[in-house]
Amino acid sequence: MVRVSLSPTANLLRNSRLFALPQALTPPQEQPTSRTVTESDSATLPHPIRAAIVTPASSLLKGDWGLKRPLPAKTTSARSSRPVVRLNALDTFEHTTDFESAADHTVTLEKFQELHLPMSLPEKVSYSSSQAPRHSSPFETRLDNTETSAGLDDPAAKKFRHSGPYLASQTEAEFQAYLKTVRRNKPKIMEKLREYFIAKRTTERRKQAQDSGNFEEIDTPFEFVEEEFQAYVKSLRADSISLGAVIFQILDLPPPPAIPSDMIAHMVRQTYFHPPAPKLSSDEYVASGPPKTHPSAGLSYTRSHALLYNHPRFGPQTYQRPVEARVLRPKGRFKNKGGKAVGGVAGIVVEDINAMAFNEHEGPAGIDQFDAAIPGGAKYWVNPVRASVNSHGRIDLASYRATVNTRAPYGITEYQKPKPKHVSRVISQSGQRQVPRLDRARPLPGTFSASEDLGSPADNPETLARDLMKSLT
Amino acid sequence: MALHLFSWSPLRTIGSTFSAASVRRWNWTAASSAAATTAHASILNDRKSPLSRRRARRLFIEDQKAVNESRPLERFQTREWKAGDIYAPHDLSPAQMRRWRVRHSPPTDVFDSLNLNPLTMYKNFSIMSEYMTPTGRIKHRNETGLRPVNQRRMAKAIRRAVGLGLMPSVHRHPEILAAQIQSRSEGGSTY
Repeated sequence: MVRVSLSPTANLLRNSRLFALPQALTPPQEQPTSRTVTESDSATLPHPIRAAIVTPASSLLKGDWGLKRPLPAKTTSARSSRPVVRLNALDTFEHTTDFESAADHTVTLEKFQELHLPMSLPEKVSYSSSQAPRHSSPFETRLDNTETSAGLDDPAAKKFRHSGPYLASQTEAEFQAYLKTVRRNKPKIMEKLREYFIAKRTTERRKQAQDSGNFEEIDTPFEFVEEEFQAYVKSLRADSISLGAVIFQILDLPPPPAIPSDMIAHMVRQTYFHPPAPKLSSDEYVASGPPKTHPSAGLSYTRSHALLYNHPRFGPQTYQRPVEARVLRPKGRFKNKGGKAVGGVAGIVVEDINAMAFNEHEGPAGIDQFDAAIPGGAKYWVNPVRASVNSHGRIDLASYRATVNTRAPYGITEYQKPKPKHVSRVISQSGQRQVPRLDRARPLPGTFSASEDLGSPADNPETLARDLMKSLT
Repeated sequence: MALHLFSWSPLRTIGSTFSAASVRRWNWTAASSAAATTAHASILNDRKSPLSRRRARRLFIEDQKAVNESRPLERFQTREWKAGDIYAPHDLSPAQMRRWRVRHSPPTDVFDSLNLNPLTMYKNFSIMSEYMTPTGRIKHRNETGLRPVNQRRMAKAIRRAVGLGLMPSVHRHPEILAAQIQSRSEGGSTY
């Protein structure tokens, strides 16, 4: 076949980066509710939905971003040294290009990568144990499979995606819409069921031959009898246990969350279809649905956390340099239902899981109660230990509070509130000019000291005077 | 001793008994000093606990004062942060916090997403109560977020329930009110 040569316009479009811009993803959806909701349409989304665009410095000078019209310098190059924009609309009725800065997500990504954390598969972090769950990389060949991967032939292989929808998270309307598509595809599904039936009968025949030792009929091809198939379909309809396995396999549905008790399955035997053993790469995906993205979400491509942080003076360290976390919501907030403090590490909101006690007097300043007196807002030092992306595309970060040992090699100290200057009532009333030093060592109780002053005898005028009197008499 | 009276002392606050002891100590001879020292120390230890308690009390009062000064400012942090949110500096700005204070109607029609007809729900007073004000008025579609057809059905269902005597017309159902009171007394915020 002769290849049709492209017209100049088609060639232009084919090489255009503008036309290579991907479609925007749907913004994260909230659960349907009958209550009023609080939201901000201009807040940073939990994950980016539009591509971020940069332009080389030579083009940036001219305002050329490869779009329909140049972008103004006032909001791009004049505002930032490394402007990154995202495009809401290439063209509008007002003949403007609708764009905004994408730095919120690009800088967050940079900050996250500075934590040197590998991405892990999600796992439940339990509050009862102080240990974070073990790291398991989503890039392992055994786990890094979709429904079309070749690696699925391995019986131990797991996948992170099914082609069917996750029924447990669907609303009734979505489920009805899905049922419609299933009904429309009934001929195809029945064809798959026939293939399933043939494969099943073939293995049954082989097993029977192995058991009986009669291998004469094993080479004759299996003849498909429609009546036999219809009888099989009928038997499936009566038996919900074997029907469940067939449905989940043919429609390639992700397994539903496990039911809490077998008693419930027994009670709803007519409507509960036993799913086959889950092949999802993480148990969290079974509980809350398979992930929307790759489990790493492209945030980090390192596989292991087995790095050693070498301090120039103190040598290898177990933990890397702690990072500062901002207290976004202190623990004792008026309407704080969870009772946990919420912090921000590298622009990612993290629940402070390390606080066990409700009232924490030894903890960092500002984490117990909101304190407006701390300059720049309350912050404390943490060691991030685990990062994963949950099935809604949000980053789950787990971090420990930095201990004295992890902070010490870097000379980091927690913020200390300034001690209130307390002046004794006696002094304030006496009219004495000199305020005694309070941070000197106190004299031992009961030792000879006429004045109970804390100052050392050397520079205490009273003691000096008394010594002088003694030496004179 | 005049100087002594006016100089700062950690023991000053405990009253006159100790200063009397101190004067006595001043007059004692060196021979009995050892025994006197231990007696003195025991007096000191006895007197120390109310002192530290008083100091702790003072610190607590100062803490509470600081908290009470910060509390009006805390009200301006209106955003409920959820784990996994991403924030940039502008998300902490007063302009963003003002946006998070506004309550919007739900963006999707609940009855559509649940595939329910509100008119058939007229016997379910807990659903009906969600679409009534505390004084029994049917909520506007600005607040309910229902599409026009479902809003009409919902309004009709409420009128039907009131007309049948299943629900009072000037307040919510007594069972709902009781559940509200119980929830409030348990410190929850379900309602």
